[in-house]
Amino acid sequence: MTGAEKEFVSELTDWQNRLFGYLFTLLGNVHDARDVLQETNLVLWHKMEDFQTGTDFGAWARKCAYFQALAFLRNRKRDKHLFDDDLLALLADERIELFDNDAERRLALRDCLAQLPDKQRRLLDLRYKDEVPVKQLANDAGKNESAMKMILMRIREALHTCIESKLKISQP
Amino acid sequence: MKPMDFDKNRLLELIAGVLEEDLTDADRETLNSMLRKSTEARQVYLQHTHLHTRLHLDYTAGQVTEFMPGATSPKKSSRFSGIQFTIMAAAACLVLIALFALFRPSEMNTFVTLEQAKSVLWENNDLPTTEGARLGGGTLRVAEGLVTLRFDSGAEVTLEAPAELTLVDEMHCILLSGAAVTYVPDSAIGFRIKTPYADVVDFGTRFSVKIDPTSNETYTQVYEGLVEVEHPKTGKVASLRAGERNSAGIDSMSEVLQEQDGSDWPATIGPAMRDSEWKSFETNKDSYVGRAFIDNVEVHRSETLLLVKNGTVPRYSYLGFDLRDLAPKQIADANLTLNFAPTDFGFASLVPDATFSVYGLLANQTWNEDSINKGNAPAFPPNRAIRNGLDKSKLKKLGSFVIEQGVQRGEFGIEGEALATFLHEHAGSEITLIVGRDTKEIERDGLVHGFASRRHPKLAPPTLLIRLEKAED
Repeated sequence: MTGAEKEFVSELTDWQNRLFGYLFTLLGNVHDARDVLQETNLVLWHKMEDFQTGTDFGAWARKCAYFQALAFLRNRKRDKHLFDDDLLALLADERIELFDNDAERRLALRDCLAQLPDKQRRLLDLRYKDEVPVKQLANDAGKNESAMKMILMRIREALHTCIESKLKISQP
Repeated sequence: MKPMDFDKNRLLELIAGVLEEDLTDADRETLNSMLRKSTEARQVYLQHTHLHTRLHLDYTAGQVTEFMPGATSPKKSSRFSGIQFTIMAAAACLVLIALFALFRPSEMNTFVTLEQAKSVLWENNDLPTTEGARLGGGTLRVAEGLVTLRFDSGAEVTLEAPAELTLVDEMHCILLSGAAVTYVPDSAIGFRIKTPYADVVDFGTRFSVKIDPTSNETYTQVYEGLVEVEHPKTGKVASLRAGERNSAGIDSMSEVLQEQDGSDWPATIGPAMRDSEWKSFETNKDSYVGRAFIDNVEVHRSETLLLVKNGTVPRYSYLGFDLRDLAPKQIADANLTLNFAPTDFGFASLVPDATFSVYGLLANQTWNEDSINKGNAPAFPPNRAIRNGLDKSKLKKLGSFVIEQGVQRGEFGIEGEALATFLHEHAGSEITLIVGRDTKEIERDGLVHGFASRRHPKLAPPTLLIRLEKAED
């Protein structure tokens, strides 16, 4: 591998999670996001020569992912899309601070998960590790489904706040 | 601080609908309108969706090692429902490929592991041919059988004899003749198989490439994902997605065909597939018996795994397969595959290397997946006889396999004549297979083994692969 190829591979690797997150944001479905990510990787791979070492790989990759998402939605014209086209464009351009300091964020998330009360962490385990549907989580806990959804939302909010505060401390 | 210009609780409800993928049309409209009006609302949306995907990925990060080059883990399930698997694997492996390239010491010139050689007859090879051997550049020639190779990039190539394959590096090989079924995790994006008339470049998929022995044409078929077939002579490139195929000859490349409309598609190439075909059957019901209750609450339960244990309360897994459409005389061979995964119950150090046996239920006694229990499960021993195990008079033993102490993950199963004969005798009906562990735990609290049920979100369910004799013309 040449130096440029190494850098390309390393950037592509580094951006996989964020591109997946970005595509999920636009499409609202993990399977679709995965499929479009695959297509995006393909396009990026082909355009490897266009990539100039030292330039903003993330911005380039996101733009490419956005166009792939649009193409994907066009092919699925008959299905209801989550967002209208104009909103999609707004969301795609939205400044995403969550993309900055990716590695620090990941570490902060680990720390914050460890700090969650046992009960909440167990709930996340069930939801994300075991992929137990919310309906069943609600049943098991004797709550209704929308209450369980909101409990999960609150846990995520708490995690988000925790992550942001950790980042603030580490980067005053 | 400026008050929010939207109802945050309502927004959170709607976002929850997106994350759980159950948003109604009316909700969708409301969400669109809220997000369109407010940057702040959009930021809340982004914050939640990103954290959601990050949690998805983070929670499966522990499984990345399975896909790392050189890891001796068993074959991965081909199920693709777990996005995180592939992405994490992609990330991990790309990093490793990069590291590998950066730090490759000069003497390290092997890049493929010969994973498995099944009934193989080799022809004058210039490479080692024992299972587990590490291979570098060179050509493998196989006269008979199946050979599975794992490239350090993560790509897995199963070569079907007669075939000839040249190994170039961890991302390239050249198929000179025969057929290769390839699984490429996202780790090996760009994995390339060159053939006489075409280059097949993979983008994270399962696909097969066959070379017609007489015309040397290349036939490519994609089962999952995406590959590109390049035709160097014309410079044409075709993208094939799941269910699509094409062929490439010396001067031209065919259009992309759908699986169902390829009338000029060769039936199969290679002796292993020429006179037969494989058909897979997944369980149509499965459950485990020997559930443990404390104060009427079930403990050590799993929704997604089928549990097996041999302790004070033995646990057996029951697998139902619907073979009603299968004619007995068609069955030539069969194997059963179970995908084991950790249950987190009990201690592995308290169970030695464990032998598991698979039994076939002789009389077709019906059972219900939701209500099967110790009292009504076929061949399950009454309480007083529980130490003696299952009621063997109602069963036929079909085979055994061993899982080493400490191993909790991977594909295990049985194959062979006993299984094929049993299926032969019971084809045309619904059948029941029972999996039990012969090896007892040394102390209480021994490990509970578990394998994926048909409800498992990621791993393949118990699967019977049956080789069918092709009907004679």
